[in-house]
Amino acid sequence: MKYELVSGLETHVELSTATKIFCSCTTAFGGAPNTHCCPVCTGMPGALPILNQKVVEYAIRAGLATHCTINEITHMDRKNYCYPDLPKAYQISQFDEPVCEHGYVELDSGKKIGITRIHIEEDAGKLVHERGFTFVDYNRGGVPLIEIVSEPDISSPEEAKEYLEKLQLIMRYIGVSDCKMQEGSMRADVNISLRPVGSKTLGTRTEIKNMSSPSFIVKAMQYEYERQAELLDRGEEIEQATLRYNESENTTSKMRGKEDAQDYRYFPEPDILTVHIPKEKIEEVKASLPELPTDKFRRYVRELGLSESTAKLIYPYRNVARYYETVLSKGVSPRTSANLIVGTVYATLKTEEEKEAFSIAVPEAELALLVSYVDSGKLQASKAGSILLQMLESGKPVSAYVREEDLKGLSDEELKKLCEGAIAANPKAVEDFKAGKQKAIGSLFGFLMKQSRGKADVKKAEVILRELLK
Amino acid sequence: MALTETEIKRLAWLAKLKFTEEELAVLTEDMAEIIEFADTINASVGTLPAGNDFARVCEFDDLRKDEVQESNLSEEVTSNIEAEDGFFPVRRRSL
Repeated sequence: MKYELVSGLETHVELSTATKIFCSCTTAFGGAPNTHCCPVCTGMPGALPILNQKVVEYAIRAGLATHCTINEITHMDRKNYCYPDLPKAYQISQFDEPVCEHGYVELDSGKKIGITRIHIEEDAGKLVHERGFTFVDYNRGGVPLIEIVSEPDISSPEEAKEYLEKLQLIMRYIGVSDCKMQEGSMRADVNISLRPVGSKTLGTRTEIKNMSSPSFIVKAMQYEYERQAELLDRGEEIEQATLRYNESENTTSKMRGKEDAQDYRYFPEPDILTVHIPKEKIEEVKASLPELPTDKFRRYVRELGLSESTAKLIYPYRNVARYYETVLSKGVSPRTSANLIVGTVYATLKTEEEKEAFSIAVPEAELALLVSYVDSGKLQASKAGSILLQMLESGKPVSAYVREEDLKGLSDEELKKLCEGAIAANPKAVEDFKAGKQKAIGSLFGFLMKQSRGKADVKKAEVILRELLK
Repeated sequence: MALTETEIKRLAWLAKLKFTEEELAVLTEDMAEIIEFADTINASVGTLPAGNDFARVCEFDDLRKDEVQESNLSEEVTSNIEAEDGFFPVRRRSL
């Protein structure tokens, strides 16, 4: 039988605040064990939590950027579970009045993945299992998280990956998290069930815990789809269970079944007051949001006339986009500028991190000047590329490479002379071209560019050459 | 407001606790003091504007600012354990 995949994601995003959610300890990554701690985040009796304003503000930002409604009244709840990474034996989270509800993330296809809710909560400590002991470090305990719960709108592993990447991009754009999956600042739990194609009822679901890479999510979902489909084909039932994904074997295995499902006994947190978020505050946060990634992408394509593929190389990197837009503010051509960034600057940036940081030796105004020479036809685009490469290397301004006389261009007379010279100096190429080898004209161009030190207009030269070779 | 011995007995029953007559006498006195203490809180609350919901709701602006402060109790937090490289050790036992 053919089955349809039904999936929803619970995504944890670590917020990049300076202090923890309920105390003024630093959230800095690393540090010697238990040195970023105080009585509050180690769960000492009598210690009282005080909610961090920035955590609420970042949750509002995240909510507005994903088209959520922001609840003006929101409160914390206790989620009880007993494990050494949680010293109080409960996690302070949110249950029935989260900060945000009812949003969505739009995929490239236009399909909207619903966001059920976004709530704030504290992270747990880190456990190291060794020599029959568990060693606990509470430095991460109390670091603020938002949990973004999606609707079961995802119907393929690829959609899950795209949803997650979109989410990651949005959170980075609005500056609430660096979303580094490899460092654990973004993790996802994946819910999966299958149903016969066309059916409207949901099948029994399983949940794969703590996934930390989009590509592994795709693999895990594919594996889980196959596993469930096989069971259903044999007429067997799916057991509702929490699973762990084993990366090395590409399999899932059971952590716990339905019978030992946790009962968290949620109840309102009595140590923290209910929070009132005034409408004006929500409006203020909304006004402070930057242009969101999808909007930027569309503007680049529709208004600036970039190709989708070029736009996709620029908009995901906040610093590149900022640089690019500053260049454009000098009134130069969007396409030439984009091509020089994507074609030339990117050639010097090897890693994603380097693109992300985008600290280059050429100031925006210098690139704009270079582009303006291309725009006005004074400089060939290819010549501009090679000049830009040298500028990136040396950090020198455009004026160090382009002299006034270079910019005058060639008169038609001079160009014609050069073309005649090229023909005279390359009898072999001329012969080949006349024999029907169109490509042979290329070596004439090469000669021409060399002779003119890049000043020759290729299009004009081609017309003249073809005329002369008739 | 003081509690009567009958009320104390009722409370003890609700809390599933048993007391001797002597203990009840002591408790009645203690409880009276506790309630009296609570009354001083009530009295000070009474001086604040009436109908204010301040006790239940915190305004966004009044939440804690995101500024790091070193806790003066960081060392004491780990002082009552035999710290192994600064970690809290937990013995694992199979149940």
